[in-house]
Amino acid sequence: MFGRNGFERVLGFSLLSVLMAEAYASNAQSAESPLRATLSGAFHETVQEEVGVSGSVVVGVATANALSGAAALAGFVVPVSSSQVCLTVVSRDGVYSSRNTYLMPPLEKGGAELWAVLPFEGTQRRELINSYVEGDLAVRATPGNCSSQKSDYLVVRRDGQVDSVSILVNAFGANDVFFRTEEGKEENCQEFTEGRRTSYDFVCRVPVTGASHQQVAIERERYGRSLTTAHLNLVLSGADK
Amino acid sequence: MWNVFLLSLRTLQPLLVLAMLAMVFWAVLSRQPWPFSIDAETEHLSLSLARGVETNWRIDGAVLCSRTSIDSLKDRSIDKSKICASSRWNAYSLSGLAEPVMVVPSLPDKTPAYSASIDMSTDGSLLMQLRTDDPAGPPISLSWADAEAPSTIGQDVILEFSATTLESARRVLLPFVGSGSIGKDVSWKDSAILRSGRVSLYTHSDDAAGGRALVDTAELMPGDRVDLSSGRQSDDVPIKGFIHVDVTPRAEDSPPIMRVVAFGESESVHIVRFGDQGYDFAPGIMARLSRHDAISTWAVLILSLLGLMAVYREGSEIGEGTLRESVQRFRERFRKPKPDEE
Repeated sequence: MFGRNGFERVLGFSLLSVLMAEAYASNAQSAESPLRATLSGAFHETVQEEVGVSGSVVVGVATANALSGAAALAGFVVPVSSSQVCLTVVSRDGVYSSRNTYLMPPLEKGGAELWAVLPFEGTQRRELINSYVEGDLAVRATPGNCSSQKSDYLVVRRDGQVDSVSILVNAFGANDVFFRTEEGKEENCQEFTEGRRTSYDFVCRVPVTGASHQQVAIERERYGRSLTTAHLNLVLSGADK
Repeated sequence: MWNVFLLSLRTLQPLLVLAMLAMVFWAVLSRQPWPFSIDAETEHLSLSLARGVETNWRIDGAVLCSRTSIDSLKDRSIDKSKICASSRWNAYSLSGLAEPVMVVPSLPDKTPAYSASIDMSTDGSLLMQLRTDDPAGPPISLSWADAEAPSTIGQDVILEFSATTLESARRVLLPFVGSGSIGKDVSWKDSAILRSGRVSLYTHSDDAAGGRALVDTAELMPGDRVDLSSGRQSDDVPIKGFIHVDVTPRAEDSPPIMRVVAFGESESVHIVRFGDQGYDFAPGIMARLSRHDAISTWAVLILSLLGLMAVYREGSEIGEGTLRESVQRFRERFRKPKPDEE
């Protein structure tokens, strides 16, 4: 169709266009991308049908668009508030689970918004993870290493504006889950009614007030009998160490 | 005349084969809903009640907990130390109230439906919670024999039939129309499971008693979860069923159990089993072809015609010439070859 010279010309233009697009994307990324955390040790993940997830009520704290396999593979973004972060990722069907400690990058003082990407490149289960759509994956990031238990939760995000934070709850047999904000406002959490709900069964959508930290209490009841309340401190934006 | 008929059949043979293949594809790919029934014994049931249907349940002797204060039941308020102990609830005993009936209202389309969570507790009591996420939706009401008018009891209520109440009532029967799931996913965090049951799939059949014939059955294992929905038609064709609690002792030390019976129509019944992602219990390819109410008759007819033609062809070849010649040809066809002919 093009002849030999014509074909070479088209091929040359195509390669040039691709290289220019790559260069533009690279520049844009370097201008906007947050800092990058480093994985501490080997990437640890398990895949089994009935995974022994940890016994905590709060399984995930993230924006809604960060609760998918695609978001995980792209790398979760968390506010920088400590030198280490423990990242736990669990699928709703209980099949996939990973728990890893990340070393946060050194910060320059005076940054208004400090964010870091937690790369997920160590996973050997890209295909499985990619099959999880929004709501099928819970992600939880807490300051410090994975052996320490804290009530601070770094709100994991992907990109875009944050309107609300999704808190994924393992109700432990409770049939009523609701959250209470600092102002005393009480709102019901929604139960997952479709698909398997082995790791978590409720989602609480907490509206964002604009503050860098928000206190939330997750309360559970089983037929009117109160179960233990979980108190969370949501960390929504980064701060200097 | 007979020869003309057979000749036309012979001419139409390719068309008949094509029609047969088309029917096979249609049977395999079609999304025909199949009537099904479920009979299960379970410790947990989740329901979403159909919007367009009013649900009435007799709740004799139950304890009623409501998020709102109910003036008409003020003198029946009870100590909440054991039941609905959370500060959000008001508890009332309906013991002695004549024929109390809880009425869950029908709702307009595209509004959040009332959901019900029902558990058989380890102490032998029956617990249920009904609520809607629509704050503007009509509330549940309670009426009884000598009440002047039904009382609204809120949009979020809990009912507890204690073991003692159940023993005196002997039976509780709660019919429903809606969707939901029987049983719970097996996990370490909750002990309630489906105990046993059976799912049966039927097909519409003119020659069977009652107009339907059994296609297949699946025995449910302890820990299974059965989803009650008719797939894409869930809004149009809700599942009908009932919950039956019978505390009449069935065996020594046998605890009372909740029995759920449901009927509906669906392309398949989804069963989630411990250790896998679940499977759709649906008729196989042969059953789809042989039991498909729109195809099976035509498939049988076409197969019969094709068979008839095959027989006719054989017969016509044998029948050519005189009887002696036919017998001779028949012998030649089946005689053993001599060694010198090989």
